[in-house]
Amino acid sequence: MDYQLDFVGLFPYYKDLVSGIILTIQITILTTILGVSFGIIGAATRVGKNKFLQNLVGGFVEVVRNTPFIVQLFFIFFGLPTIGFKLTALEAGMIAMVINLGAYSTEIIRAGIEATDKGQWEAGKTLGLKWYQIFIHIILPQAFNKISPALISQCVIVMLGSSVLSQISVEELTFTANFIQSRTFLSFESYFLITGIYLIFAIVLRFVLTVVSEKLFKTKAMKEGN
Amino acid sequence: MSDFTTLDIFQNLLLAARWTILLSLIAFVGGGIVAGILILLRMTKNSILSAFIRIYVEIFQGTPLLMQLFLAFFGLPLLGIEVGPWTAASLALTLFTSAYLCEIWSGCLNSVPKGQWEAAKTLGLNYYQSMVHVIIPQSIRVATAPTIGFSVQVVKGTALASIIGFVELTKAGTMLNNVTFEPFKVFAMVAILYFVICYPLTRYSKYLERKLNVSS
Amino acid sequence: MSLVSIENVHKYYGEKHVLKGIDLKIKKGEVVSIIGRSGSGKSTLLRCINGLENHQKGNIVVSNLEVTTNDIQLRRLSKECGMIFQGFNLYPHKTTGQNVMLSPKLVLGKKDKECRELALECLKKVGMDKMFDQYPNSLSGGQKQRVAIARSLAMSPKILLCDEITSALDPELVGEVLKVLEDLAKEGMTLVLVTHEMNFAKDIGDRVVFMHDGKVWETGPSDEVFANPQTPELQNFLSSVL
Ligand SMILES: Nc1ncnc2c1ncn2[C@@H]1O[C@H](COP(=O)(O)OP(=O)(O)OP(=O)(O)O)[C@@H](O)[C@H]1O
Ligand SMILES: [Mg+2]
Repeated sequence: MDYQLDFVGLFPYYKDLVSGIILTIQITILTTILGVSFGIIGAATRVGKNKFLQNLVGGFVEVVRNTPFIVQLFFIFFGLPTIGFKLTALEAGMIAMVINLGAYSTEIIRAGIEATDKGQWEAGKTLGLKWYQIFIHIILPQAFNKISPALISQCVIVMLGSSVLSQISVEELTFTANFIQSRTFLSFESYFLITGIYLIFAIVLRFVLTVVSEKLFKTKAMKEGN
Repeated sequence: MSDFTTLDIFQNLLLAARWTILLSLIAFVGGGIVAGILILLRMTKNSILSAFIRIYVEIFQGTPLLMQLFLAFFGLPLLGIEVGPWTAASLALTLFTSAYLCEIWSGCLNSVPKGQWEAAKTLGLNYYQSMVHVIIPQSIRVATAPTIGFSVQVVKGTALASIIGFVELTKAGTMLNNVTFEPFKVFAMVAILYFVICYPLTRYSKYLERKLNVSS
Repeated sequence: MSLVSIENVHKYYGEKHVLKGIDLKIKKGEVVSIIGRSGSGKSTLLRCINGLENHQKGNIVVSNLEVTTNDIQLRRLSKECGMIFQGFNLYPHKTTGQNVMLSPKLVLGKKDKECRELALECLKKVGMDKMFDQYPNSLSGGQKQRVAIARSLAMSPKILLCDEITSALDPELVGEVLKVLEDLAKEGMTLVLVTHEMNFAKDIGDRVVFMHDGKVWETGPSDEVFANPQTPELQNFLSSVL
């Protein structure tokens, strides 16, 4: 092997790198918050009383989960403008990301709700709480406590999926890698470096979300007594 | 506009879908074999091997599939191995799949109750005999549903191979879009074809999961 | 004027006819024990009284409120009528105190400080005020059930429905829960208990309702019913459990 790896050659592009990192972080934070929020609303609809909404959300979730992210992205970015929805690349990307996490977390949270003892609904009812109060104060925290590992993994998967936004020229981390390699021709080095950054992102995101979920849902407090 | 009728588009997409299915099969079978080897290595209980496997899984689950494809595509030539989109995509998707399957299958092996190990031991079976005759058969029952469920992720993952120039369903879609200028129609049809491939797998996986829950 | 009035109530689960014309009146301050074999419809009757299940025919009126399928009406009813479950159904992610305070806060709109005082008072009644900040998982079954009772009391119900609330407890923990019920009965709380504790029914209960095959088969003052069962079904039942 006569090829010498040259990481130093990437250095002049550190500013591009930083702006790519920042955009990816911003996209990730926004997607996680909005996606999980939609997941909560979606799951509430799935276990709610309205059959029509139940099926509507159920169908939507299946469509999202059974088609590739990149196709959804192209459909939103290239397809929707032809019927009058003009979107910037970033808007299209964000919509695709949020829809994706929303669909997956709908299913994950719904599973958590269904795994929660039916007696909890009954207790809330006999104590005079409204449906939404039971859902928010009693069922949801227990559901989250059960499914937080699965939900966190999904958030990480969706974050990693943001690299595909480079394909519609959102200037995030992968776009930066493409840019740097096109200037330096150091393709392997560029992608290797960026891959490492994604790995760090994944580890940090998982850690942060684990801490947040333990803070929010008292995962530990509930376990202590056992 | 163009000479492409909706039927033409559909036919072209359908032809391209063959490559999506073929690539999915390669990745799934290849990934299954690699995952099987990883699990065997883990069974040796060698701590260095275990650590290696953990890092392997962590890396492939903690980085974008797109990056894995790029690294295979641009990295292998540096080692003097000339690769086209086919090889790069097959290799990256195989490794990607193996990491997830390794994790899923390990989870299933661990889910077999401890009592089963103890029972096998008291009946005089050694570690490998217990594994082969008691633990693995039970794990397979548990593992089928999530494995088939994951195959959907593999099919969807092959769409990214389009980015390194592999002509499958998604790539065919972008190419057709470039000549027809009808992105709404083209990508909707692409999505429908993926759905037709993936949804039965999803349903089957859910069906198996329910059956297992009822029986246990 | 009776607190609970049940007239000709029928209940079906699909095709299955579970309650076959129940008539029952319960006066304020009465302690009524419902006994009967498994599957005779005891739980179903209790759950129809507070609207957890809907009956298909007949009338149930609790404290002048007709039991309907209407959510608003059922929430009104829930302030009059508390329920204690066999499986406790405490909120596992909330402390003892928070379990008790949630409904006064959300349903009655009480201030935090009021809720806290109320919760302490109710927990004190069941001897659990010392465990205000414990999570349910760290409590014994008897303690959990006493917290569940306190949680219901915080809504100041006129009547408590109890469905086999000592059945999930270790034998040595049954007494502490029955003691709480006894105290409540003495204070004049109306209690409807589905129970297997025949001695308790005999000693504390004013009246016994024996259910059989979805009907009120025999009913009367506790001492009379136990001493002098009229129907062969009740005689059989009593001889099998005593
Ligand atoms: N949700 C339900 N769906 C269908 N059938 C039901 C349901 N709940 C109860 N049943 C049936 O209704 C009948 C009465 O049940 P119920 O729970 O009221 O009996 P019970 O007297 O409380 O018995 P136990 O002493 O075992 O608690 C039983 O035959 C039971 O199988
Ligand atoms: Mg019962």
